[in-house]
Amino acid sequence: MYRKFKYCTRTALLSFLYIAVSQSVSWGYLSRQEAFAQSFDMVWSTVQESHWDETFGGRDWEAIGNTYRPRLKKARDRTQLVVLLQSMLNELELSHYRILSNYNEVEDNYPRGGYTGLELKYVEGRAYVVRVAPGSPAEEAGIKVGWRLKSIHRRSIKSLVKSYSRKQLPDKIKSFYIQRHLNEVIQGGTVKRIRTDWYPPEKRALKIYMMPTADSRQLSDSVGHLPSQCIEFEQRYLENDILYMRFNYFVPNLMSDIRASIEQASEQAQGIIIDLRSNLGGLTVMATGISGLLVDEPTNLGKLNLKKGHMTYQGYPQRKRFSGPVAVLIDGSSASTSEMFAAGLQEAGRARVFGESSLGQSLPSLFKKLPSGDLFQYAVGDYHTPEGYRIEKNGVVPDEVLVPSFDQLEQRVDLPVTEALQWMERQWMEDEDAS
Amino acid sequence: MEEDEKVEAMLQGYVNSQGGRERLLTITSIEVDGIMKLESQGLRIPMAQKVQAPDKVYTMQDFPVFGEIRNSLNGNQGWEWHPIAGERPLDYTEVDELLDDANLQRDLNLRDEYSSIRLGPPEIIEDIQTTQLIFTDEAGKVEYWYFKSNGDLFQKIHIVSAGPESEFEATERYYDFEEEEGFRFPRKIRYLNPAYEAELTITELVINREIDQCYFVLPIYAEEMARLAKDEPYERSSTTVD
Repeated sequence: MYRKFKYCTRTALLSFLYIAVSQSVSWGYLSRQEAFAQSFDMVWSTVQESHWDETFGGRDWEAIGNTYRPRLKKARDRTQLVVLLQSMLNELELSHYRILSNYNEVEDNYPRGGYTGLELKYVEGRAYVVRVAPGSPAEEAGIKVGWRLKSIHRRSIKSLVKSYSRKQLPDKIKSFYIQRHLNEVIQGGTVKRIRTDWYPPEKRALKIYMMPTADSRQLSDSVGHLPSQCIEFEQRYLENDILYMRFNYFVPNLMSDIRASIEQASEQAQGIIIDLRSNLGGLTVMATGISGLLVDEPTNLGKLNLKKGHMTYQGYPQRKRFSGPVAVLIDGSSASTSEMFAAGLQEAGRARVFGESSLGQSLPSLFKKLPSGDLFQYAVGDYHTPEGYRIEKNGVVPDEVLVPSFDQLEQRVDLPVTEALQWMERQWMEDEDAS
Repeated sequence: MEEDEKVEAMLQGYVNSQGGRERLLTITSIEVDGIMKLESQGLRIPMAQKVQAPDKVYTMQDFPVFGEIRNSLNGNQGWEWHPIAGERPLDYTEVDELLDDANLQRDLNLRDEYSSIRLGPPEIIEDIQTTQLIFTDEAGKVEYWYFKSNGDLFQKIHIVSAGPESEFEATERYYDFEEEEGFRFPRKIRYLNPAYEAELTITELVINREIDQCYFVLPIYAEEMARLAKDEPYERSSTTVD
């Protein structure tokens, strides 16, 4: 009689699975050995109990624990504990096993620093401006899209790249880290003034000082231990009534904007471009929710293999939905839920994907708070597309692979957007011919 | 004692521990309010469930940030409203599970519900000596039920439906039994699934109060959605509302 509530737990699991790549790290200090030991045990046993692959990818998790546990005695502060735990998790060689030490239990748990409003794209040793936020310090300083960054605080891009060259990482991951590093530093952190040196196209090199403002971008609501993130949403109409939409996280705070945009598009747009470049992911339920606004029939977006079971991600057609062509843009910084969304709609034939291969980090995860005060993100399943393609380590391969050249970045040519628009035109022509 | 007799005695003990056959036969509806805590995730989710025998169920969970997630079964169709994922019909396995939930006399007829019930080895769980029954249904799905010496169900391991073409193994444990109008039930239920633990505390339980039927009606969109979801003829539900 009292076995009625099983439905609730599955809803909780589906709703709170989160896949995103963490943004930044700062250190705190704690020196309680007991808390450290408990934290170690919690991390080790959580992996032991929840990892979907009982072979741990051919690794002996028991032995790994036995190797790292004695080193706990040498962890004198929280920094060293975090390094130890992260090193142990790195043995799994999987994404979404992370210790987040920048979490603190205040209402606003995102480490807010400075903001210049610049977004940089790193391509083969060079960094170009791809976005300047309106009204931002960068715009006031006169920095334009297409400029190439020479150095920040006199540290050259070349020297930064060199420091990463020593790390044993795949090139794609290395490029992602370099781009993330640059985009963090260019915001200013806690400094009052940033010196930057630039190569504007067809001009002499320029030295520009920027005064970062406090980061006042909207914060997503934290959900349980799920940390807040600075969120961005942008929508505008391009030529031929094409809706262009960009957002940087899959978080519930953005769902009403996204839904309203697509519902409006269902009445007036000829196509939708969803720009997920640099989108680091978020709640997986957002991917199914947004898909439901784009599909005309229930659409399988992929399968999550759990330790003892599996779950299918399915988008259900909603009352107001958009039925025209959809293009999804991705790049090497599109991760997690972005990848799931892009791959699922791509395989279902509902969207055409443009850009560069995605990061390949797509293991749905949950968060636990450790006794040390740090957060532990742990994967609970392995995501595959409906046809069985594994995104982790492989990434989503676009239908049209488009790697921007230096010239295109300098000339502010947004190749994936241009190609997506041309594809949509071809679609309409084909539709007209067919009718 | 033969195995079959032992099984029968355990099933009888289970019914008696809930208040007895006569009492269970009189129950036509149950309403529950509770709090679901996912301690490790830092989440606290108020929930409510209304069950009307033989075939109606409504569940609401008030999720932080998202808002209310609701699902209902109106007798033959099930439906979910999710503030993020949107609306969807429940699939056949989910509806089957809800129909089991709505059958408030199910524990009186377990022999009819399963193709076999046999004794399993006794186990000590959380220092409690338990006896075990292994239930197998017609589809071959197996459930493991562990009983305390007084007949209370203490643990159950089974496969739960997790949405369309989805299922995972879950363990439930039952604690803090109390009696309400002759019906004994646990105030606390712990859930362990492949990803985390959750704990439900029942704050209020009401038996045999008339339940407003609006909880069980389906939205008008259900009709269109059902057509989109499958090609077979759609059976119109008795009541719809926008």
